[in-house]
Amino acid sequence: MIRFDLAGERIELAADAEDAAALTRLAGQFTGLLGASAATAEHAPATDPALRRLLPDPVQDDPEESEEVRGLTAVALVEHKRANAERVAATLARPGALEPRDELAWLQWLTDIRLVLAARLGILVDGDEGLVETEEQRAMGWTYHALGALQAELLELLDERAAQRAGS
Amino acid sequence: MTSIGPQLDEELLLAPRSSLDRPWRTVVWNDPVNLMQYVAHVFRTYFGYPREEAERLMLRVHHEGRAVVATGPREQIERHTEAMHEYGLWATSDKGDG
Repeated sequence: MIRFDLAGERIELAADAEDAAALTRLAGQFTGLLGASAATAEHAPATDPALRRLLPDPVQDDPEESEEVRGLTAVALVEHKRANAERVAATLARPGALEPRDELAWLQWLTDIRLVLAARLGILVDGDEGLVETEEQRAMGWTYHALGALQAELLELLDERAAQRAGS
Repeated sequence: MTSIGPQLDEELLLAPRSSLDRPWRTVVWNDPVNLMQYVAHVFRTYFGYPREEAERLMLRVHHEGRAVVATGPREQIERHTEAMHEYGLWATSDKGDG
């Protein structure tokens, strides 16, 4: 079980050992995927659909411009996403009150990991249920939805805190 | 009958004269993964849009498939688009169609 709570001004992370380990493994796989792309990210659009979605074409309808901009931004973008995953793993290793930077890392990484899972499950347009043929796909689908629910929980707490701040 | 006098002249003067005058823009595209409340949260916290405007833009992305979320000089727009990629939103820069 992984959950967030609002304690005064702070978001607190609670995680049992088993789920913390599972999510830490996922974060490690995510940085591995990014690592595989790092060598080529600045030169060409990725061929892996998950990486293409994480590092989309920056300029619409202009491949040449897109590659020029990608050359300037891809390394920093990959590094940003890798740092988020590492920060998430670090907070799972010592659950408790999150720093503001941790909150942002969690929000962004939950999105990124769900983008990867969705690409693997073939969730491409609104309404796609995703592949459920194998045990692995069903487990991945469960994780995809569970992490979506976790992100929704975090967003609600951030909203609640913003309302508290506005009211005080 | 409506006058086509000074107002029209003024509009013509203010209209972009060539593509060089068009601002660049950041367009956010719909995707099946991102939660609607997350997209609205990003528009509110990153761009500083008021809650209602952020919701309106999020719903436009959801229903129409895309929305222009920022316009401005090229460098600024490229930075905004990159920031959207940091958030995992599907965004592109382009030169507005005037």
